[in-house]
Amino acid sequence: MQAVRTDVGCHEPVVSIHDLHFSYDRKTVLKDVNFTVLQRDFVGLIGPNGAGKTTLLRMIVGLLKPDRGEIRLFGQPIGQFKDWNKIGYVPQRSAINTLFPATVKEVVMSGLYGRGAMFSRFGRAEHTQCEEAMEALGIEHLHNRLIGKLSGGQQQRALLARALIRNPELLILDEPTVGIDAETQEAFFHMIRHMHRHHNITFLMVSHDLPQWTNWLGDVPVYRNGGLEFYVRHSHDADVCSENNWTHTLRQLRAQERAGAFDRQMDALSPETPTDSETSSNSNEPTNSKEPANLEGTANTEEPMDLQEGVANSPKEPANPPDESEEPDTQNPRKRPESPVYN
Amino acid sequence: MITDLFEYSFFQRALVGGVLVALVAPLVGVPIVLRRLSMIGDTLAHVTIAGAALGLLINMYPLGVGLVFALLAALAIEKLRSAYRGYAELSIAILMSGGVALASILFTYGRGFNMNVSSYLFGSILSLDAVDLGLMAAVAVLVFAAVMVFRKELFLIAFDEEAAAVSGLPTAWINMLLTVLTALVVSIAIKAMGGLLVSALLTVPVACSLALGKGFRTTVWSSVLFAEIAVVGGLCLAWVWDLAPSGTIVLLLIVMLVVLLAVRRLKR
Repeated sequence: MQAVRTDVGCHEPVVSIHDLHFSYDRKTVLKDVNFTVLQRDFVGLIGPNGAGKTTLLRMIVGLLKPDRGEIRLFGQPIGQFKDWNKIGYVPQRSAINTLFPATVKEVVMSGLYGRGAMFSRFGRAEHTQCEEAMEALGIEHLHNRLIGKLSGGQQQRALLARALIRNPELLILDEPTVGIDAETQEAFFHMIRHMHRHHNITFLMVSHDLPQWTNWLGDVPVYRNGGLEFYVRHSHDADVCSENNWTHTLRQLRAQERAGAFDRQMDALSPETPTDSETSSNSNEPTNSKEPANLEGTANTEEPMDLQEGVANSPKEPANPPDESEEPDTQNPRKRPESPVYN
Repeated sequence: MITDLFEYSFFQRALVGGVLVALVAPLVGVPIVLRRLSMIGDTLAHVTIAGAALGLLINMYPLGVGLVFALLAALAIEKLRSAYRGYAELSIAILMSGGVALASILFTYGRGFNMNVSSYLFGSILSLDAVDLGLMAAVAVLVFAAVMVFRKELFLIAFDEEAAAVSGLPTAWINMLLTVLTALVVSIAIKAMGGLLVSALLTVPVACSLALGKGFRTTVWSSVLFAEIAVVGGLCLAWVWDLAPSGTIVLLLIVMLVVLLAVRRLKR
């Protein structure tokens, strides 16, 4: 079971970067970087290869030390920060040794390993947590498969499950969509957007692919430094810090997806015959292969906002298929409140 | 005939020693191989040979001196590894040459002392005595306990060292632990397996279990099983056919690997 956090306030700074400098072999990579990531923000750190994105990310997670300047995590200087359980980190898929003999379950479970768990023995509670995590990401049927035998999208989900299993407050994603086909990328974006809207979590994502994100993050960076651009989407006004159980958040999404698939199957049934292409396009998504009929109950327990999304979506984004319910644009990604924190 | 064999006390000691080594060698071998440091066993073994040679020369317990040398080499590897970042295997290669060079000088120097060089190069498992077994048992228990206590952390640094660091794990410390454990295993295995063959027991059982294509847990325990089969089977075969035991053990492991790879190929 996920622990429900009660100690969190909204809009607290999660990552603060002050006057950060970093050079590598006398070549300045980062200079005077100043930025603050607030709680529940989605920050997209976008820039071309070599702009220092990954360097900055590695400094934020403590893998590199800056030459000058300061990084604070949850208000604490990074040198004193001990609460690493609050941070979930999804590395680039290429950083993972795909020949490694580890099952999906072993990989997801390893998200619970860390300083705090060093001498503890894992029991039923942790295994249940792991099963819930895999189920929430729709990879429970792959639990015994080797991580290297999965498709790119499935590997990405396994790594995401590993990062989320500890119920982090900050999720860091390094180039999450590299090497994944377009359809799987869209499913991934959809999931991330859903989490950002409904879950009490802050995102920091690095990507070199600007067009993929501008639609959602807006096309004007909040802060620019050299080749680095910081795009921010707030969700302060949405359901204020409501959902703390991420497995529940993602179950909502899966229920929605199944309901969408169910609707489409019904649509397909009403004319003469169901088309093959319709069903085969769904079969890529493991969640859709389940029987849709018994899922109505789950879908009905959802909060009404899910329905609003579906309704608000259709006139706004006619290009998308009905189940890819885009978040309604009520949260003004382009028109951001002027916040003194972003300079 | 084979059953009589088990009544000889020297064979019993060989069996106990072999079983102990075959238990702990793959346990440290799995993370070593998966971190692509397969040659570390060879390096530590060569330095241990130098230590054993020094022990013989100054009339101290050779396995004990070898163990101290192996531990010093482990520390040196970790130190050099940070000096040559990105070229971890370079530090291993440097120490290996150093170990061989020192051993050759010491062995040549001690020629007059009638030193039994070949027993440290190729092993003499049938000549293990009670003191050897005592040291081997103590070290094996220590290594086994350490691997069990830190198995989560060893998995994580082998699979994804960055994630381990982001989880707040002291990765430098865990790397050091793994190298020290490997040094301990190599130094107790050197008299049984021989300095030139000891690293086979760290790596070939792991290669066998990797051929199974299973998860981490299965990989670890199946590699222990393969090593035990090879040690017990190899000792018996060596007796029956009058072969060198450690060589037979290693060749049996390689035969097992070839069979497993062939089976895997047929299955596809």
